[in-house]
Amino acid sequence: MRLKALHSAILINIFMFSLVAAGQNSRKFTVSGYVTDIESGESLIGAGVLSGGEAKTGVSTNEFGWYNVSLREGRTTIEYHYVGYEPKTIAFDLNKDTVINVTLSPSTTLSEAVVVARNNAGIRSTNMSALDVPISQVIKSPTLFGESDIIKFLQMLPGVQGGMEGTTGIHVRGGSQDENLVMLDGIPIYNIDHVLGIFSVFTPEAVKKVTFYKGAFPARYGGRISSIVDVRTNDGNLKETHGVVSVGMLTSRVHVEGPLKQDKTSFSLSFRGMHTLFYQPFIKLAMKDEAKANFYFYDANAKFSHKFDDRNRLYLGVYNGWDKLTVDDLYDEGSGSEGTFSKSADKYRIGWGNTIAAMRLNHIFSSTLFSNTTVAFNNYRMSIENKYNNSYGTQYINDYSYKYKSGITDGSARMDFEWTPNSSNSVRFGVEYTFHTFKPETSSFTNKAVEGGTVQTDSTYNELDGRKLRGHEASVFIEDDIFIGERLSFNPGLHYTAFYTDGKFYNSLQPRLSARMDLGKGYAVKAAYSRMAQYVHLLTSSDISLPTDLWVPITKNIKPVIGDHYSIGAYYSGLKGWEFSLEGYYKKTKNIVEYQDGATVMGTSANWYDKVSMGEGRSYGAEIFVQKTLGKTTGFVSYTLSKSDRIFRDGMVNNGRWYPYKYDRRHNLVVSVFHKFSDRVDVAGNFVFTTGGTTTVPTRQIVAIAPDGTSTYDDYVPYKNNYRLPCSHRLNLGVNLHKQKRHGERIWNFSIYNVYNAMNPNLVYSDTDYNAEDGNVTTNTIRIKKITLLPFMPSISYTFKF
Amino acid sequence: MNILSSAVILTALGSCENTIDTIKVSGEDEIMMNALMDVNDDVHIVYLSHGQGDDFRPYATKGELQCYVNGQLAATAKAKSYYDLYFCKAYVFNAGFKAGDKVKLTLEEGLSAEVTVPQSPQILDIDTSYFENPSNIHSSVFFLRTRLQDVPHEENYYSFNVNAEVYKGWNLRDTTHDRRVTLFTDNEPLLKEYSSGNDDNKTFFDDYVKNKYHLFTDKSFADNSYVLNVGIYPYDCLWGYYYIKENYMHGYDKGGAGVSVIVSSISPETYRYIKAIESSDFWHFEPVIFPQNVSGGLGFVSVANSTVWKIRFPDRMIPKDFYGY
Repeated sequence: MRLKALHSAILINIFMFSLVAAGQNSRKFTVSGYVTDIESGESLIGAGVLSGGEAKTGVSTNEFGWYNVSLREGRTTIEYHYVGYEPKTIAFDLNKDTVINVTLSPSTTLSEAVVVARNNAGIRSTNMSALDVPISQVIKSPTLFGESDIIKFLQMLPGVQGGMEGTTGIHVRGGSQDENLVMLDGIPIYNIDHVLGIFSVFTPEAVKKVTFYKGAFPARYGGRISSIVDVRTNDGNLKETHGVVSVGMLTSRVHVEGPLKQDKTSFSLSFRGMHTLFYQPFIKLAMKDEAKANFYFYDANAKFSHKFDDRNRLYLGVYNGWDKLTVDDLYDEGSGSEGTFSKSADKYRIGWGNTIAAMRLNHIFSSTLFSNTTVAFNNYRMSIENKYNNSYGTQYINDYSYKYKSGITDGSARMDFEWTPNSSNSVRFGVEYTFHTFKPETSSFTNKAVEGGTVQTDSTYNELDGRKLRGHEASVFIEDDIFIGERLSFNPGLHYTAFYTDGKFYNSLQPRLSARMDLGKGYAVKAAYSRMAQYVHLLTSSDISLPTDLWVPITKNIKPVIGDHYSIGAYYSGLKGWEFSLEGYYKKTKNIVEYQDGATVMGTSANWYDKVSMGEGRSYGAEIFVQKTLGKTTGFVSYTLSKSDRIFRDGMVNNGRWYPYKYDRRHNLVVSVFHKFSDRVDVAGNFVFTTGGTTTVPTRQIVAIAPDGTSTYDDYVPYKNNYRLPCSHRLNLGVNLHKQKRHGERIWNFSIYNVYNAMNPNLVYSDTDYNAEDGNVTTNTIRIKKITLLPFMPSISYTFKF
Repeated sequence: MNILSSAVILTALGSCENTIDTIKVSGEDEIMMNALMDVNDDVHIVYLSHGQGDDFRPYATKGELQCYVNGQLAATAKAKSYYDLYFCKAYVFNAGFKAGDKVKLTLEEGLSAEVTVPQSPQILDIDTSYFENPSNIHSSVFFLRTRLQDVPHEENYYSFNVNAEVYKGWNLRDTTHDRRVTLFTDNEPLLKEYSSGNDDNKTFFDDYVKNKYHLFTDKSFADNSYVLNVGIYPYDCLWGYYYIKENYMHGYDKGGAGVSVIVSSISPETYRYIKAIESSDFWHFEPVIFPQNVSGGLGFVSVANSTVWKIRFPDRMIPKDFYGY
């Protein structure tokens, strides 16, 4: 014990000495500041800051556009780079800690961003399997109904699969949909889907940057197993008011941003809404004359930024999104005897959506210490309401109503720090607390009947428990970007979470480690390990995102999901404008939750914990990613070979045997190309090919004996997900026609989703045909049927940027 | 109008349905052996069937159906047509089982299934009360509060049932297990059953959630005791039993009525099997997987261990006008 303590003390002293020594070989000073767009004042996330003459080293700006770098005293040259912007070089004599705020000008020529390491993501980053998603590419990529979508773009990356064809679910390296932490400015969003998953909640015009992690997760992230989608929104133009108006087939979008006070305070407002009226006539044709149905969704983003001074900045952000379906079924019989008449009204309302409100304060303590404090409110709710009224003149009136609600509310506070003690270390640490309130289900009925002026029935019945479940989640983390020379870098980290709920305390220590070695001549290798823990589950039973999918917390019997992720990769970036990567991964998870076989999953999930089992999952695969980033033609090829299966050893799923995961698609290939003919015309195309996922179909029927002593026959399934679906593939094409107008730029977009009308399955089910006798034997036929919801789909949209 | 239908209509614009694949479900002609036995059964019944597609026939073995207990031959089953069911030929045998026994059924055609008898549950006591509704005898309720002791240090699965019992004089007669009575379970969260026909109990997708075989686990009371609170409608469950009427008419010692409260300890596989049978009544996105534990063929064999507690109704519970005279 004493020897162990002595070893620990020695290690700590060596570490401290190295920190001090690194700064004492010669005098060093820190250069820090913000990198912003010269035209809008918008901070640039991930901008490269290089120094060091021939042998450049560098850092990149953080999520708020702030950087700091430690350099030797004397004549200093610093280069600032960002994709799509002209690089800037500043030379000066460094003899004290210096603040340099830099503005970059947008470039008219495409050039490669030259960054040597120290990015959060990308081929040169220490972080493995991390990618900065280019928003410009997302906007130009041809999509369903011409609606650019960040999540659908992620589905084209290696290791990422969509769920049902055409929807926004993402399954990353064999993980399920709820294992992805999708954040809006650092706040998790529980439901990212509109229209049953056809669209996501993100409006591309409001988004500044998206960073996607699917392997090695930096220690500052926690709470999910499979991936992190970190979406950062625009702060708002500090110089001038600009905006975008876009009208498409299904939705229209408006985005406006500008200064409230020049160079001090800015706003950014975005709104997207669906054109329900366009489809109203078709809906009326499909329904009774008296019936009316309407569906719409909207997203609204508002953000305000204020710069107090160079050290303090405040951000206030609000997001609200909502889907709503209304169905009114009215019946009017007309006049009866004595002028009385009978009528009824049956009204359904179903709605679901998120509300997020957050306040962020950036404070620069010194040239080496940056902090971000966030306080946030996050709410997801769903409600169903049915009102039925039936009356016969004034003699008989019956009112019936049913209400059902579920949701989650989080209140959170978080402090992050970035500390750069020297040029070899960049330390992040922080603490976070979240108070969760889960309201899985509340429902009530009221029924009132009046006959002849006398109340016959007047009752209220609360069916479901409605008991709120509360959870306290606290986390601390620390990570360090360590650079040893120019070739070797590490990112070790530790994330610790404590979760208390249902009288039970859980905690998990989650080590993280990424390492990168530059082999020279553009070659590099990386390796990583991450342990992640997840304390909430999404109970879902279908391929589509239903509003009745429920987020539930762990309980005293349902434990947190734990994931261990190992990955290794090789990379080449020696060819200008090209990047090549080959990665392999192995992931195992335990305590994953799934409904037991035969559990009634539709409707109420009272006592849901009795209907689910905990099990294990494993997935492994290889990913190839080739990108061309320069020139008039850019794009990428992504290929994934993967396998994913699961087991629930209590026997409640598939009788305790291994079975393939529903989205275990062995091969996945995406080719995405963008070509710019001129400033006026550019085209884009995607080709997607995936081998089929799995589904469960019966292979015969068997006799069964019920406990009451009767006999019956039922379908027999040898094992879960026993049928492999056929491959899916589609080609999407799009063209953008640009024209400069007096007050802005107009863009016509013509897209075709599924150009050659591949009838890919959106929904798959099995149906039994009971055939006539074949000889003496009745032979049934099971037909695997698919419903294709997204065939050949042309679209057109008009966008005006001012 | 069903909400799901609305959603489907909205998204069905441009949709198309067609067939991906066709699978002939004849399968091979296979023998199926099924048996849901209980330690307390007077006779144990095994059902044999065979068939392909949905053409099932009772199967008469050409050899012997034998029962082994802990490796020793305990009985050879004999065909008994009295117990035959639709699709099934019944074979019966007598053998005593107790907790922990390994029971193996073998069929000379090469089928076999081996199961372990679970520990019997312990009923500590049953407290009863009768709520009489003079204006509507049918809605009078006889409450049973059954206090169980969970078998410790293991996961346990149970079923709960109540059988109607009829007495002639003081003798119990006619205690076949198919006289299960309807339970009133609204006050019992472990057994709560949503009965069909009541709009209030519809789930979102117009479906009905049932637990008609009254299954439950010990997750909420592991290693402890628990009081199951259920009710029965005694008038309804006794209707038609002419023995009672007969005794009253002829002035014999009064007949009587009562119930047997049966708590059965079942294996996890049996629990899943019964759940699968119940689940097949409802629509699911995917077919329900039935556990099968017969090697060399298909089917499911199990042995439950039940504790039975008999309760005779007080005479005052049977109203004088019960017989309709």
